[in-house]
Amino acid sequence: MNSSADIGFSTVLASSIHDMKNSLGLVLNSLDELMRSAGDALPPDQLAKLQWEARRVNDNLVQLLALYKLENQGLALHIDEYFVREFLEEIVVSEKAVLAMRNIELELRCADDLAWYFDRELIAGVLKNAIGNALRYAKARVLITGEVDDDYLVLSIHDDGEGFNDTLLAEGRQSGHGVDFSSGNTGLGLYFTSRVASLHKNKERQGMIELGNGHVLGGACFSVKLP
Amino acid sequence: MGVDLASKTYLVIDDFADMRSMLRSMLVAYGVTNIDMAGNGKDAIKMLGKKIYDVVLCDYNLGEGKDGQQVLEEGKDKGFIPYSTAFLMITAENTMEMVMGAVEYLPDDYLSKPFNKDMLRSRLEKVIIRKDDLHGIVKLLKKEKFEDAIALCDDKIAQNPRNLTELLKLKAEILLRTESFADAAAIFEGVLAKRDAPWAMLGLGKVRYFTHDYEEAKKIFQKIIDANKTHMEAYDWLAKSVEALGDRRQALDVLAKATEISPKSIVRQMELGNLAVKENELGVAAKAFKKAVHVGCNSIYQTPSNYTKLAKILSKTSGKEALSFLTKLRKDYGRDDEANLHAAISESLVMKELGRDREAQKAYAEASRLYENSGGDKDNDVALEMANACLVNGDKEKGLVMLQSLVKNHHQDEKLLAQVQEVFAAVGLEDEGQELINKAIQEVVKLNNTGTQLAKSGKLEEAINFLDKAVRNMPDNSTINMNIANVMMMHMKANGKSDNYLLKVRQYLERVRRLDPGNENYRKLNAAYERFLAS
Repeated sequence: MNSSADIGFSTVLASSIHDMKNSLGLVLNSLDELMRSAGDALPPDQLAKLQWEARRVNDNLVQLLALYKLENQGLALHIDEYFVREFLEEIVVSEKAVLAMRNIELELRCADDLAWYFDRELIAGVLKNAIGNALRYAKARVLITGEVDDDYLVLSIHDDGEGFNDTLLAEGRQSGHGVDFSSGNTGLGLYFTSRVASLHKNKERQGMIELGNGHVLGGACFSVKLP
Repeated sequence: MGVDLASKTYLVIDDFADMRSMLRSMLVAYGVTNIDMAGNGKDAIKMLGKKIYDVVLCDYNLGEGKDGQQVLEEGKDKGFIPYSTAFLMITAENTMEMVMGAVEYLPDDYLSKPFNKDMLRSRLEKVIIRKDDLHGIVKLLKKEKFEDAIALCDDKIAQNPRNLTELLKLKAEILLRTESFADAAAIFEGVLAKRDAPWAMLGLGKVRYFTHDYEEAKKIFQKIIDANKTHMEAYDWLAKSVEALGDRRQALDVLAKATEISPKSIVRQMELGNLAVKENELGVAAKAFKKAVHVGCNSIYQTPSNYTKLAKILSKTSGKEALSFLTKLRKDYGRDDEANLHAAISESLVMKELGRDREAQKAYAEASRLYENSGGDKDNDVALEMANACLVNGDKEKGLVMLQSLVKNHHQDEKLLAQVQEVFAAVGLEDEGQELINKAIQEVVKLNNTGTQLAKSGKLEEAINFLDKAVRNMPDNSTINMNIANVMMMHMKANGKSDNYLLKVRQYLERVRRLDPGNENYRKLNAAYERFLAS
């Protein structure tokens, strides 16, 4: 990153990502409309798959952009207090169409007046990434919980799938550097997630992520803990 | 949630037709029928001027011309976006380029793309509910009924509502505004005991700054930045604090760093430019003012003096470039007399510096004509520059009269007095200047004392007549304005209310408010006036 050619390239890369993201946003919304207006006339599975993959690309682009900015000191952090349940509801609402198509029952458990400090956009990115994974592996149910434990806000995504494999569990413990192309897991999600968690600090403590298996629904459990 | 979105009026601002129609179709899906759309900032301002909307959805990025923040600032500034309008800023991403405005110019919420209609609906409902809840307090603030506003905050806080933090923030903001620093600090410290909340840290830092504890202020602002390198407001306050501690060099470094991270704020670029001039870092100053001229071209914060300050700096190194920015000033502002006045004054100075006396004289003649015609209220900076042009272009008598009048009208304004002294120094008249300043101040002080003495000895009519003459001579002197207002109130307390005096007192107080809004004596006097009215 020290020659001017490199800086030029990374800037071009960032602005192209930005551009791709804008196009995808329009694609996603057109799909939304299509599913709503002509849903019956079109093959629902394929539509859902289209939307699913487009969303995945979009989320990856968002993460890449955020990481690029993090490296270049340009990632603005806006930490403020939000109502956790409202925040989680918004995320669920933005996944509504996919949920309906995949026939997965999603439950949200969180106290109504729980409020906490965090960066709304960044943590939304973290959760969307985790929900995306959960939806991919869940059989029938996904549970999202928000609660306070030991003065951390713990946001967890549980599913009833097979659970994380051992490699991922290990990666989760060392904040993710592995790239496994065969499984489609580039490590981007995990890397992004742990970087974002650690940006959250309070009273000498910082945020972290935890991966586990066999909690509430028997499958995987992803948690982000924010001080 | 019981919010009726369907019957509200909407303005959608986005430069992409696809985005506009997408937003429209989302709104139509909630049953909305009243939707206007604008494709750029200029059109948006026009439409905002024609009708007060309930909801404005505005993309931050609007292509060429104004961006979303500038639309918001200009709309608020012109009164087109009252509190009752919910303003949502739509952003492409978490972007650093984006400028966070001052508190009064923040959107009600941000919404980042992509979002679907359920998401938009949820945000709209929340914003509207939140604004409704605080509307009573905001109304009181508009009327400057600060005590009532605080009491209403307290009523709500006592019920320990869900939005407690928001109410505490608002209350603390009012307390800062009314300079109740100890009470404000108590709120911030209460929050900070449990949580390093950035807003509370910033607030406490401001309290320390305003109570002149600059060391502590500096520490707090530095701590905010250590935790979040992109907290731009903390940089601004850190710079202020270190400057107050006398370390202008470090203040310059802090602002330079901040403008590097977030170059789009015209206000910060101006601060950097002014500081750099003081530190004689003309290269840094030129760069900052150039940025200010460019990024601020559609901003309400833009001012001709960014161009003229730049021209002044550049005239020492490149006359051609200096003049090119004055040409740009005339072009950017069209046929605006005020801008042309600035340009002409500056041109007369730059031409003189370049040794082109004939052109300097021509520009000076234009400046004099525009200055005479401009009448009414004149900006002190313009008056200073004009006086400077007079002295430089051989019209010494006129320059001295102008400077003397400035001093008389602002005899307690240390900053302005220093600027006057600088003008004298620049033309080699330090000693003569100092003498003129001293004499002018003495004269004003004597007038005030005489007036006050007369009032104290009970000769109220005489005092009023005396001060009336003084205030006609120095209409912009806040001390004299306050004195005469005070004596008139004493007169009414003794002899009963008079419509004529009530009106005049109102006018004097209005004048002071305009001249010197932060003046503590003004606030006390105004409060006394309000009490007197109610009595």
